Amino acid sequence: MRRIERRLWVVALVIVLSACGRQADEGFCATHGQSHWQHRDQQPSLVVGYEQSGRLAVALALPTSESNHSSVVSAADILALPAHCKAGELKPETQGEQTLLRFDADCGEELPAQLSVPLLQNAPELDEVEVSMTTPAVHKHFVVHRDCERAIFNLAEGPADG
Amino acid sequence: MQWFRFFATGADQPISASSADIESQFHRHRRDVIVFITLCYGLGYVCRLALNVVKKPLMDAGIFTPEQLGIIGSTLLYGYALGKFTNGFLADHAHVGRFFAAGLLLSACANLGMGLSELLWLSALLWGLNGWFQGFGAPSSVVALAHWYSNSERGRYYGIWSTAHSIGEGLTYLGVAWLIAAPPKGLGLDWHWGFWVPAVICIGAGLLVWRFLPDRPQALGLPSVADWRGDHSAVASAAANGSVWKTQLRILAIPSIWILALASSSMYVTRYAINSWGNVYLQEIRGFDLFDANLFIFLNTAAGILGCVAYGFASDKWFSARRPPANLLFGLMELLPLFVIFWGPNEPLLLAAALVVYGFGLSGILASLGGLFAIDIAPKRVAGAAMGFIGIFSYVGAGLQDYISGRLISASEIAMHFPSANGNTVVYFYDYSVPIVFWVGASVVSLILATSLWRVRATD
Repeated sequence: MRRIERRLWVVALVIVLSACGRQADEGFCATHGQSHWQHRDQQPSLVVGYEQSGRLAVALALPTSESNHSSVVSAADILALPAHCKAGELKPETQGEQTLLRFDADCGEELPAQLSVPLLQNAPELDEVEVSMTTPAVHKHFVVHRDCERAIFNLAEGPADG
Repeated sequence: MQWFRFFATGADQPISASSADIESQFHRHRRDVIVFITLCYGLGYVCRLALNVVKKPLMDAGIFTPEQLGIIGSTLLYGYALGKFTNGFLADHAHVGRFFAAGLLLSACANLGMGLSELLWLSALLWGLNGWFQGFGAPSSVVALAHWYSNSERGRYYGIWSTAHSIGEGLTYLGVAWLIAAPPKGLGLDWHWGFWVPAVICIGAGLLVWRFLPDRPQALGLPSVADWRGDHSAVASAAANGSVWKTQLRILAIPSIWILALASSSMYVTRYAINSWGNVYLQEIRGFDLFDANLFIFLNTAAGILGCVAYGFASDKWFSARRPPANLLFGLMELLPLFVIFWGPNEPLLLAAALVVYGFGLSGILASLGGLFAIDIAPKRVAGAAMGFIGIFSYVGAGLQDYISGRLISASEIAMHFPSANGNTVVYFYDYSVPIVFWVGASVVSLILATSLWRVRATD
């Protein structure tokens, strides 16, 4: 009985120590959500409104410094849609320090279940994009960074949050 | 075979201790029994509910889809249903301290494995086994209560032990959520820790139970608790009567029991939908963070403690021990807040109040459908079998719910891909409107079924 108890203690200790040995990711991807606000103005941000009727309203805000040598020239560079969707013309406008690129798309009754944002693929000058997407059911706000495997949620709005 | 003997209860020992020694041993063991079954059953709960807290991080990380999480979650409930059936029989023959400890330690192993697994089949297998291991705790605790507390006092101690559910749910929905939630509300640890920390807690609980939960009094050379307290039941034990098996089978011929089983099963659909998917819904659709969403779920479980007590009081005092009117009252208290939770304004205080009323009503009606009303209707000597029958129905319903909910949520999926030179990040968007109709609809069906038994009276 005592021997079994001793063995169990050893097993428990090994399990605890081995679990402690695998630290959570404390790197950039794990912490960037708390510090992103510090450079938000210098990063692109994408807003997508996805309606039940199949209409999409897309707006990409690029810092003017980035937009001068940006490779974003068409709607498909921002949001790649299935073939049956019709994307409108890309309308650029300048708003202070930012260039705003807008377009609308209509997918009719066949709502796309897959959307692709090729920004980080087509524009090597961009490292990350802040995304705000609203569907009829849900709104999500996150950052996608080319060095992070997963999207970063729970973005702090300022120093008070973090 | 030696393993079986190790877990078996000891043979009755002759009483050789002095009466003072018997007194002191009873006091010490009875104190240990109530403290450690309550504490450790509560601690063991964190290994049962951990998945619910980390569902959203797992979905966000793209490790499992809602459908896959539904499959994994349902295996625990099927395993638990099976455990309820088998472990009750086993616990009657076991040294409950060792049996309970084994369940906790095995459950800890399953959680450790879950923290390492990103494979669907492996996670489903581990979580299903975890359901069965989790089913060791309740029968062990009830058997310990039966052996160490006499008839006239067992109800009080059963009540104390019942608080373990809330201790466990509180620890999970607040404690585990605190580990995973982003700073400053939580530590912001990775989802793996949502399984590993509960595993360590369960190991600790297992060791405590192993050390402090004793075998039967007679196996320790003590008299039975009934002899010690001079508290013998006036009614002969059911086991003494050879026709118990036949009476148990008669339950299956009582239509009201079938209706109750279906009503309870439907109510378990809503109960486990809120427990399993509620915090994901509150994060995904209502926009709360992980900590706040779990806090809301905790509120509903905490209110449940009062709901159980209030149901018994209300049905006895206000309705002269008639359960159907109380079922209707508590059923409406459960159903109406669901409309506020799912279709009401996004006002935290209102949502919290709705969840409290929902939890209060749910616990009350569940205490009736799976317990009090079942005992009223069933022949008294086989009340346990009636509850077991309804229990299995209920957990099968809960398990089906988890799978169906996951499937319905997955069907609404919109995937947004972000390809780059380093890989492809995917963010998923889900719509909960169809599953919500399923969850609320189940409550409506349950209430209709329960109310259809309006004229059913208690049997002797």
